[in-house]
Amino acid sequence: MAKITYIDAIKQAISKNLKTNDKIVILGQDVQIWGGYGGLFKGFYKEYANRVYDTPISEFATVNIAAGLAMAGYLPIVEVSFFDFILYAIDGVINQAAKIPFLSAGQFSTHIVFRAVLHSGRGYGATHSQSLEYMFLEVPYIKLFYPSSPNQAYFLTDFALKNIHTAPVFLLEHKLLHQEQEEFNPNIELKPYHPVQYTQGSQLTIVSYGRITKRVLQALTYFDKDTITFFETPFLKPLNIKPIIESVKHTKRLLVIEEGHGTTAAWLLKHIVENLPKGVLEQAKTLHFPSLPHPYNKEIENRLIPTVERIQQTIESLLKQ
Amino acid sequence: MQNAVYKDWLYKMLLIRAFEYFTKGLYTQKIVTGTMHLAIGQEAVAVGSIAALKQHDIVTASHRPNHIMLAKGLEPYKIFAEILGKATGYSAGLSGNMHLFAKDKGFWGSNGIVAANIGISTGIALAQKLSKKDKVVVTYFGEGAMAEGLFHESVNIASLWKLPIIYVCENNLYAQSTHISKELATKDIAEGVAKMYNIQTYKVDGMNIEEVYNTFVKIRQQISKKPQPVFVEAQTYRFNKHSVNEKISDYRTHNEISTWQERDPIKTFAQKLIKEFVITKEELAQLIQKAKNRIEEAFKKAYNDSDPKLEEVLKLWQKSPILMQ
Ligand SMILES: Cc1ncc(C[n+]2csc(CCOP(=O)(O)OP(=O)(O)O)c2C)c(N)n1
Repeated sequence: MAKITYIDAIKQAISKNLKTNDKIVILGQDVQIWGGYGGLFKGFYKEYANRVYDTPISEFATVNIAAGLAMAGYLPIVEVSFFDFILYAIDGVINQAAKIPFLSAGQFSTHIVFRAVLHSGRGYGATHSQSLEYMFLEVPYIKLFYPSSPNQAYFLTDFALKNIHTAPVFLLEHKLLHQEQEEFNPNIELKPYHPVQYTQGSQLTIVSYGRITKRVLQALTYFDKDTITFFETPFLKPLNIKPIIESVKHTKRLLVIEEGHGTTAAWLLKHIVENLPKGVLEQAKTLHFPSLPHPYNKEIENRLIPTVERIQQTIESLLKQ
Repeated sequence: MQNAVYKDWLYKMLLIRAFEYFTKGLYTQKIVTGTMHLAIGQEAVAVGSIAALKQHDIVTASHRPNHIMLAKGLEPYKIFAEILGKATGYSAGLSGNMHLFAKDKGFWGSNGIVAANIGISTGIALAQKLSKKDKVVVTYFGEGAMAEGLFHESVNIASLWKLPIIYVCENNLYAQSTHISKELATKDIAEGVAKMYNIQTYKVDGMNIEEVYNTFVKIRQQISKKPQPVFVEAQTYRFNKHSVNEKISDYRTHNEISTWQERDPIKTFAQKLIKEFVITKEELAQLIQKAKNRIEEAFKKAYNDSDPKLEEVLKLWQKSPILMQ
């Protein structure tokens, strides 16, 4: 089979769904000619002229319009571009789109797919580099998916567009993953809402997601194969944490790593720890960006995002104890 | 216009007013807690505009929605049930009147967040355009909402995309305690919107139901012929406090309030109908009584309904788990 990039995998999945679901409407800034951020939607406007809308720079209205479209039975894909820009539209996401299914007691559903791109580690500075998924973790009904590989990206995009959701789904991408390649496997099956397990070990359980997955996998090469169990959570929410809990029962040590400011890691930790039986846990730690805006200097920024080296050191210190 | 239609308008306005006064009592007697924004004084805007729409047109409202909901034909009984938090309410007792949805009736939501429905309704209008239906979306809000960015983003987009929507500003001069002169820089809302967003705008006397109706008939026909957004400023006044919980009410003079009360949309319309021999004084008294009775019965029925079951509410939550086990 041919190789495919991460961004093309997302595009393929959207293209497939546009063909079969005429309720899909794409809206956002510069989607018609540029195809949105990274050219994801390029070509769709030619094929589906009345289903691809260039919006003015009006994030707030765009999100509310998407909610109205969804109420009327359409499936909007909203081009958020940089994840940071969602902040202008936060009422539309949290107070409107996410609440309407509940407030209307099921009369309306608001299935919207938000396509948002993360940018940490690219020297874009403080307002263009944040991992804001933490804001939505405890917002009822919202789902969060974040692929780390092209085949995952294909599966999760396709899954996000299935008619099984009743509220907003965030499809998170990382710009630094866009050109990653692998053999394309359109038949890949992720088990919905389950973590993906990479390794099986007896001394430490690691949980991470998104582009940090790559760094963890690199760090793992420094350790014996049967030492560490590593889970990735491409379905960040909702999440079946049972396999993780079973693993920690065995390893007694837990490390959660994320690229953002740590709230998501803390959230994962909370849900894992409070589901463990008494007396099991010996060590628990999170690794994340410090409580600072992202500095512009790329070297410095990249040393603050958990590096392979820091992940490796943290694992070593946990294993020693 | 046939007399029966006039009588129907009058009855609808009386029904709204009876509903509002009855509801006010529920809060002063602490039968219901929470908040409630009454629209006493603004009835003609709701009844006059909705009478000019097609049955299948879609309507949304703000935090002050009762007059709009009743004009759109929602049942007082099911609104009361919602206000009382009963399982039989339009939103199963989960939302209250500030977030009430009655999809089948074409009422697609009130909203507790100022201006939010301006944006959502713009999206609903885009859906009507995409499905090529002759359905118009009408969204009601106060002049205070026009200070929100979302209003401007939405009207701009509706104009660019030629969406079939009527933005109805019920200009009652105050946003809570804040007078319009401290809220909006423009001296003329309708003119300001027309210039900035290149759409047709109208100014109507919101205390005059015939004027409201005639304007909306014209607008509705226009949009059928050529889908486009229209903005209407309906000049009106709320006779009561901002909400039932308002403590300090001295931002309006008694003089101002009583001057507006002389223009009471129900009183003036009823007087006109009597003068023109459409109804008699006795008939008016009967209509008032009929409206009151209907509201009392609706409330009594709702009052005895059951609360939602916790298990049922948790079932909704299970549809949205954080964790799956
Ligand atoms: C986003 C938001 N900000 C503030 C409020 C609090 N609030 C409720 S009603 C209101 C005044 C609204 O005035 P207007 O839009 O003119 O409507 P009116 O109350 O006069 O009908 C305010 C500030 C709110 N509900 N939502």
